[in-house]
Amino acid sequence: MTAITSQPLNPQVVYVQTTTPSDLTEGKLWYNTTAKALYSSDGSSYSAMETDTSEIQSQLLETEINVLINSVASTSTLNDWDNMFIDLFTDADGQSGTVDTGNTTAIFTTKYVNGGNVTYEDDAENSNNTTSYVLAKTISSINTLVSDATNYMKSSNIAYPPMTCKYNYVYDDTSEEDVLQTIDSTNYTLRTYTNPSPAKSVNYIRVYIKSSESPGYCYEKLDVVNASITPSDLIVQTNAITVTTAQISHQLYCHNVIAGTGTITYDISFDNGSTWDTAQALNTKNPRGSTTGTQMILKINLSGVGIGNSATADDYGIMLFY
Amino acid sequence: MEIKNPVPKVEREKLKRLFQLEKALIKKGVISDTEIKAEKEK
Repeated sequence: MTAITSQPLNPQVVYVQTTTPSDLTEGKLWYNTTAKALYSSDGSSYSAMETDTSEIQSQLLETEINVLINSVASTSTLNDWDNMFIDLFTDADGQSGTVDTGNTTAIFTTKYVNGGNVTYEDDAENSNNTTSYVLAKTISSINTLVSDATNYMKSSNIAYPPMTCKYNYVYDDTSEEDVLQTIDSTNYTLRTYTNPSPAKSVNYIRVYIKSSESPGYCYEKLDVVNASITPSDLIVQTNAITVTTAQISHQLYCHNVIAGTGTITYDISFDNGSTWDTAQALNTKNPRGSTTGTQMILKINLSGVGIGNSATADDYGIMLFY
Repeated sequence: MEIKNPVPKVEREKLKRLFQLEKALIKKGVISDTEIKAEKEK
């Protein structure tokens, strides 16, 4: 007679839920449906599993650069350009660091804009386990109209609810107003802080958090301030870029979007800003009229005044002809 | 980031002259734009 043996069933290895699994067996995985992140247990607690995406990001960047080069070159009918200088507006000073942020007046969001709806973000996670307000973060240099702001809050101990988050709006006229939100959940939950004075320009916002009783941590993260800036004539200016002298012509291309009466032109100087060719048309081989030289400065004019008259630029590529 | 045109200047000049020649021939009525296009597609 064959002996009866028992075979244990495979246990659940990936928990898909909002709360931390009670099963802390080493190697168990938990997909946190609130944070949309994967966690693994080391036997005593779950930690977020970080994925290194730097290689993918590097490849994406390389692709973006190649797309830009091809886009710029394709605007030259005869392919008779000699040198091209490019940069992507992946951050305020550009991927290659060519943007002069001191002289640039355009607003950087995920690209350069002359106005419209913009957001100011601070993703950092902060906590406090005391019953006094602690400054979690300051979102500064807003200086425009704000409709509202949002963040995510949670408590580590619902035995002592609620936890409080205070948005302290500080306006350009130095007046202040507070908006409070509370939470009694251990899961991150969205909270909205409507600006009590939306007609007043906001200078900066201070975010405070506190617990109602100690111990009991209050957490907050992913703050987003929703602002709107009335479009106006603004510029993106580059640092001086060393080039070969005796240029005959120049031609600028940039991936852009214009709306209403918004327009984009460019000014260019080859003598470090002493003389300029101004209001030059994009995608046109423009003859150099200013003094030649080896220090090129470019100004991309994002023009348009009033709501709906916007101009945005994602990047630039300037071709020089000799 | 600086990128130099990968096509040698001599070659670019040849293409430019060819393009200018085509335009001149079309202007003088020696050959039509359609005929040049057909030649290029052969």
